[in-house]
Amino acid sequence: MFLLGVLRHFVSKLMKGSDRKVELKTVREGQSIIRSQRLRTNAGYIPATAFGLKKVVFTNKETGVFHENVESKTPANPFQAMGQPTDPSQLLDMMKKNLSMVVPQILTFNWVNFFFSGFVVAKVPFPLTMRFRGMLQRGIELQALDVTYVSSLSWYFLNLIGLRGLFSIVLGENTIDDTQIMQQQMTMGVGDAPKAYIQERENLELLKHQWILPVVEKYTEKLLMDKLGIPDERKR
Amino acid sequence: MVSKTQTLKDLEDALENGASDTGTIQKFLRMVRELRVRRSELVSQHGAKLLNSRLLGEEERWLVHEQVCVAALDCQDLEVAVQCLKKLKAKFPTSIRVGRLRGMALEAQGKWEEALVHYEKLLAESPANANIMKRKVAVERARGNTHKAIEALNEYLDSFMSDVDAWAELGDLYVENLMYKQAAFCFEELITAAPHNYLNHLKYAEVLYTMGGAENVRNSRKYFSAAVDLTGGDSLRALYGLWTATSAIKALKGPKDPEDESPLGDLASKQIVALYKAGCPAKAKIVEACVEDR
Repeated sequence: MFLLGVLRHFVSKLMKGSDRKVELKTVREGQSIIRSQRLRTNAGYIPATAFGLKKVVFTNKETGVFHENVESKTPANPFQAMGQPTDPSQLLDMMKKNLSMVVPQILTFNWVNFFFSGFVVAKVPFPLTMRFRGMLQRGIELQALDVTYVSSLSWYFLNLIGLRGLFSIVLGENTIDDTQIMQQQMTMGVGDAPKAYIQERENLELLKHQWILPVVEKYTEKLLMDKLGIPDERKR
Repeated sequence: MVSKTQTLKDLEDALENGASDTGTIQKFLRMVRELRVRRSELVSQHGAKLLNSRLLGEEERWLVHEQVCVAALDCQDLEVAVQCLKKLKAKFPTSIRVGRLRGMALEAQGKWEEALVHYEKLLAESPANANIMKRKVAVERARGNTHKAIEALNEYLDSFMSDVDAWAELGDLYVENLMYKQAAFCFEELITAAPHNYLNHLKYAEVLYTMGGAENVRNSRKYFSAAVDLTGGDSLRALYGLWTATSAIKALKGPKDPEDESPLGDLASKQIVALYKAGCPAKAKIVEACVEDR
C-alpha cells in the first residue's frame, strides 16, 4: 500500500511532461479582462476624466482592446460548455494525472477484494456502536461479529485516506515551485475570448461613473475634528 | 502560534548572533523562500554552506542553489554565484529559469548588452515569460536608461496589464522623467486595483499637485484627504500634502468653486502640530511657526 503510493508519486512525476507554452496573446486576453473588471469595481475612486480615458483604452472603436479581433480557440468543443480548460495539452495533463491516480487504486482494491475478502485484520481498542459496522466491516456480512473488529477491505480504505501524512514525511514536503504556479495563474486565458470581450465591453459602456472622493473630504474633516477635539459647530 | 514573520525574525537573529548549524540555515532559507523576502546578505553568507549538505532533499537542493545564486549576485559574490550556476546548468541544461540566472550573472558583471541579447534569445523560446520580460526592464533601469526602461515596461504591460507592481514601477519611472500625465495614469491604475491602500492615493495626489492647474490642484486636495482618512490622520506626509494643497487652492486665480473654502487646511496644520508635540516636542515650535504662517 505504502510502496504503491511512493511508486505513484514518481510515476506522476515522470508523466507530468514539459511546461506548456503559453502565447502572449492568451495572456493579454485574460489580463485585459481582469484589468477592466478592476476598473469597473473601483471606478468611483478616480475622477470622471480619468475614468473616461481608461474606458477608451478598452472600448475605442478603432484602437480599443475589446474591439480587437480575437479568435475563439476551439469552437464547438464540448468541454467548453462545461467550463473546462480548452487547451488540449492541458486536458491531456489532467487525464494523465487522473490515470496515474486511479489505475493503481483500482488494481489494489481488486487485489485486496479478491484475496482478502472476509478477513478480519484488526481490532479497534475501544467499543463502538452498531452504526460503525458499515464503515469498519465492509465485506463481512456477519451480524453477530463485534463491531470493534475491522475487515480487510475497510482497513484498505482507512489506509488509503490516512497515509497522506506519512507520504509527506517520506517524499519530502510539497516542493512545487510557487513561482511557476504564479506564472500559471498570470497566464490563464479566458475560455471564449470574443464572447468575454463583448460582454466586458458592454459592461464598461453601461457603467455610470460616480466619483466618491468629494464625500471622502467630509469624512476627513470629521476625523480630524474628532482627533483634535474640536466640536462640530454645524451640528448645533 | 508564532507568526511566520516572527519565526523569520528569530532565525535571522540567531544567525546574526553566530549560529551557523545547517539546520538553522535550512529553516531560514525555507522561510525566506516562503515569505518571498529578500535577505541577500544573510542568504549568501550562510547558504553556501548548505549547498552540499545531506539535509537537503533532491528538490530542495536545487531550490537552494537558485536562491543562493540570486543572493550571491545581489552581493557581488560572483564566485559562489558562478559555482551554483554551473551546477544548475549541468542539471537543467534547457531550463529557462536557469537561463534567467545566467542573464542576471551577466548583469551583475555589468555586461548589459550581452545580458539583453541573452534575454532576447530566451524570449524567442518562451515568449510569454513574465520574469524574463521584467529582467529586460531591470537591465535598462540599472544602467540608467530610463526611457528604454519605460519602453520595455510598456511592452510588458501591454500583455500583463493586471500586474499591479509593474504599474507602480512604471509610475515611478514616469515621475523620474517628469512625465506627470503618464504617471497619473499609472497611479490611477493602482488606485483601481487597491483602493484601500493610502500610498496609492498619496502618490496620485502628489502627482496631481505637481502638475498644477486649477482642476488638478482641486482634485489633489481630495486625494490627500483620502490618504489622511485612510491613515486615520497619522501620516505626516499626507497631512502636509493636504495643507499645501489647501493653501494652493486659496491662491488660485480665476473663477472660484464653492468647495474651495474648506476647514481642511486649518485642521491639517493643527493635526501636524499635534503630532509633533506628541512625537518630537523639540521641533514642535518651529513647525508651528511654519505651518501657521499662511
